[in-house]
Amino acid sequence: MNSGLIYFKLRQNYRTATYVTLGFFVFGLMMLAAYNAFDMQSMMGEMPPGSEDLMRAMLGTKGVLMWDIGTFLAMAWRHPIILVMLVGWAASLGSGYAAKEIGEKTADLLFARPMSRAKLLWHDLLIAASLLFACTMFFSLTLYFGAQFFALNPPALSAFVVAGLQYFVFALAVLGISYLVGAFVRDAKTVVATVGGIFAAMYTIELVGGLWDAIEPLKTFSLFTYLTPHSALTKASSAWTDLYILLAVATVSIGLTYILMERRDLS
Amino acid sequence: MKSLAIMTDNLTKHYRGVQALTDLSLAVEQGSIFGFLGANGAGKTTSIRLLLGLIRPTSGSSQIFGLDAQTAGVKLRSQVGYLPGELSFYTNVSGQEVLDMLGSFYKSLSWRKEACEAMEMSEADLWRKTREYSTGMKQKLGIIQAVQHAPPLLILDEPTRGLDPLIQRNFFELMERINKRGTTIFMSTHVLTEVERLCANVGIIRAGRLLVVESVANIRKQRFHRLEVVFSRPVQPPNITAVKISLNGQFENSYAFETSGNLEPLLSYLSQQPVDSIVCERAKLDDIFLHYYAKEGIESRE
Repeated sequence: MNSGLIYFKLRQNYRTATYVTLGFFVFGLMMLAAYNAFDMQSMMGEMPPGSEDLMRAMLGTKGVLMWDIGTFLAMAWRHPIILVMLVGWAASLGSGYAAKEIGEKTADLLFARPMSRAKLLWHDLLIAASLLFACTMFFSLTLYFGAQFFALNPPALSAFVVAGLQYFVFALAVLGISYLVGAFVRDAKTVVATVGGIFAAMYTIELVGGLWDAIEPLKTFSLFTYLTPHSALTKASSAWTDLYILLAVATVSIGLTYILMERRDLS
Repeated sequence: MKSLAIMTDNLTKHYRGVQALTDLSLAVEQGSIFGFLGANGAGKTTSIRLLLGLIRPTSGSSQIFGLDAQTAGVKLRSQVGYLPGELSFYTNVSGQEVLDMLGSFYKSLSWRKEACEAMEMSEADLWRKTREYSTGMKQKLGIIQAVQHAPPLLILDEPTRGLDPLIQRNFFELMERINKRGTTIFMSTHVLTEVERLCANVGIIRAGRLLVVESVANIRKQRFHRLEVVFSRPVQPPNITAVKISLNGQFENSYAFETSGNLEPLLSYLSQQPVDSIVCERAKLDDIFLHYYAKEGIESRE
């Protein structure tokens, strides 16, 4: 373990991590304050026909929606603004290992050090995963303690921890796919744009598949299908299955990156 | 014979049909200063990246201190200080932080202070953000990071790019001191005078092919000269076989004399003529290349 490299990578990334985490914090508190200020249940009841289907598609759930605090919090986790922030940030972190180094012409400096590419990847992964974990868990805890603060009667803390873990593993899958894309391209912008495109397509499949039965089978290929905070908050066992699927995607993509990077020309 | 610091065997690299390097076979002795001379795009940087294992060869192999670049890359790179040709630094951190991070891979940074002094980089300079650095300062930081961990082999790609003359002189002195301590220096450049100043041997590369490995003393002997001479009155041009003579249309009674090797016959002739002015041009890299190309052509015909 090279502490100098770890410190350096933290130094490079802490500012963005702080801003993103603050953004999540403010968003979570504002959502809870809004829930506290308005009678959401009657508001939802007055929504035009078909709106509930859209809400279900956005939440990734089926059946009758209970407009309770759990459902509302799941909306916070799966809100498009938060998802864009999370995917963008994780993609940006994932672009930092090779593509950014090559694009900014620092690869010759870093990869000429006496450390294997695999170890450099693990160092990068350690920092990126730690920052993502801190941010996603902080968001979960913000939602839990915020809901406590507003006396909204939230589910147990352990349910929030599971939802946070699932959110973290989803971010890890984005990170892994970004590493994988980065193993082919030569600059960070291309990685972020490509990963952004992939996840936009996945989100579209998830949303349209939730509304249109003909598309529904394609939802298997969307990682958003496995981001199910609502299941975590209701302590459904499927929450863990979804988490393991996301973890498998992250592991496979990072493993493939390792193999590809061993053979890649760094120039 | 001394043991070898660098050895390559038919090292070849092709990029999607482009032959960046073809059959490079090179041997650099330990403790020597070797100049790798070639124009931009000749294959110098590709050769260096192959030596360090940053890119994979299409065929052939390379070794540093007997360690193969492809199979023992980590151990090999622990023996090397490297200054990249396309130098760029992480922008949102200070020079000091860059040095600390890049130095964190080595046990000792015993030459950092000396290198900083030679490059005239103060503490204040080092603590500035690298995005505020000029090209020259970036190059100085690049040299310090390459030298700081006292490597047995220094690989420098265009090391004097962007350095002012005073710092260049300091750089050459630093290299001489380091070399005396036993460090082998492999320096790529397209500036002939740098090679003459430092190196004992030189490899000349063009279009991805090594033309020749020659001692600097021999290159100097065969050195190309171009003299533009203006005479005060019309003169009879000399009859010297090794000298190519052409009329210089810019001035009346003006000739251009081109020769390589011994200048004595030409100078002897000029000393007896009414010379108004002489301009002597230093050899250009292309002239050296042409010289060796011509030589190579003759050898291949033979």
